[in-house]
Order: sequence, then C-alpha cells, then structure tokens
Amino acid sequence: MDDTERAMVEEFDRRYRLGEASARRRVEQAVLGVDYGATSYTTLGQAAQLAERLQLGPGVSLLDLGAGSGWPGLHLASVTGCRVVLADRPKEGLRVAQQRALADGLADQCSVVASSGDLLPFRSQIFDAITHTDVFC
Amino acid sequence: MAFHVILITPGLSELDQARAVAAGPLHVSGSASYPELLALAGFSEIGEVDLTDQYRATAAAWLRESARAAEQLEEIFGSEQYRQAQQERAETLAAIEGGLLRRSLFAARTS
Repeated sequence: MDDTERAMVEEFDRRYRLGEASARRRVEQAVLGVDYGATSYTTLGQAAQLAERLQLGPGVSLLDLGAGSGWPGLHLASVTGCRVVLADRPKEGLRVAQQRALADGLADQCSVVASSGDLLPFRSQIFDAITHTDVFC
Repeated sequence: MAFHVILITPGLSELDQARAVAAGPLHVSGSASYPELLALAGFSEIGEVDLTDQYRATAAAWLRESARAAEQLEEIFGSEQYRQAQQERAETLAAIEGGLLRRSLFAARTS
C-alpha cells in the first residue's frame, strides 16, 4: 500500500469511528433511512432494488466489495436471509460492521475480510452475487 | 453483480473533469467507460439504470440534515471539520446539478 492509499484508508477509518456517534447516526437515518454509520448515497429503497436484481435469498452467497461499516451488505443479509462476506480495507469500518452483525443476530450469516478489491483471497466463482455501492469511476 | 457507480460525465473539459474528481467520493477515479470495464472483466447482459436524480436528492439531504444537526455534529467533529465537510457536500451537490457527476446502477452476469 503506497502513502496515498494509506492516507485514504486512514481517512475512512476516521470517518467510520466518527460515524458511530449518535447525532451522526440520526442524520444518516434521516437521509438514507438506516443507521449503519455509512457515508453512502444508497437509500433503503435502492437497497431493495439490489436485493431484487441479485435475487438474494437463503442459500445465496453475496460478496459486498468496499463494504464499509456494513451498509448495505448486512441489511441485505438481514432482509433476504442470504450469506454475506464484507470485504474492505479500512479495518474500523469492518469492526463496526462486525459489532452490528452480532447485535443483529447475523454472526452466522456474515464474515468480514480485510482486503482490497484487486487482491481478494477467494477462489473464483464461489459467490452467487456481488455488489459494490458508490464506486467512483 | 449489481453495482452503484458514481461516474464522471463523459466529454467534460479538463477543468470540469478536475472539478468532478474533486467533488466526487474519496476513491480512485478512472476515465474508462464502465460498461467496457465490465465487459473486459467477463460480464455480459450489462444493463444501466440512471439514478442521477436520486443521487442529487440524497446529496441535498446529506447537506440539509447535517446543517439541521450542526450543533451536535460540531461537538463531534469540531467546528472546522464540520464546516469543511459541509463545504464538500455543497460542492458535490453543485457538481451533480452542474452535470459533472452522475450515478447509475449497473447490473450484469458472468459470461
């Protein structure tokens, strides 16, 4: 990881830490309709579109790339019953996501992996569905 | 796969391209066509749904709701960081409204 990437990961770590504050969660709830500590533009309604497009349900395995603090991956696991692997580089986001998974009773459906998208430690074609929200291209 | 993607509007001037990158999320940005990237990665049946209107509405909501909670957010972030974050949100909204940034849902299948 070069200095630029390291600085970006540190900035996301800082944002995820601050995202745990209750006032910040209330703002997120008002904007997105959820309170995962996310810095996203994906609304609750758009997450429902993802679930439909990806045909998520029990027995389906989902990879959420750039999963941050678990929005929308954990939510999708919760509402559809799918299994989800949350992959991202900022470890603070994954820590927040792990806590949320435990609190929401999703520990058996959720795993977290600290990895960048171009170095994923998975065999090919082991996921039924992949999502990534707010990639900037 | 189904990805929400924030894109720089094609065909911008160099100055507008730089404004779009500055106003976009904190990510690496590329200049390639996203459908072309998906095709190169082995995806097919690539579909795009434009969500730019919803993107504008959500960006406006982040700005408005954060302003509404200004006092509490300043306690958490500090006044300077809160002010800077609001400025960034305002610049993002202006870039969307100015046609520099778009947001789409891309869906595709592996070939």
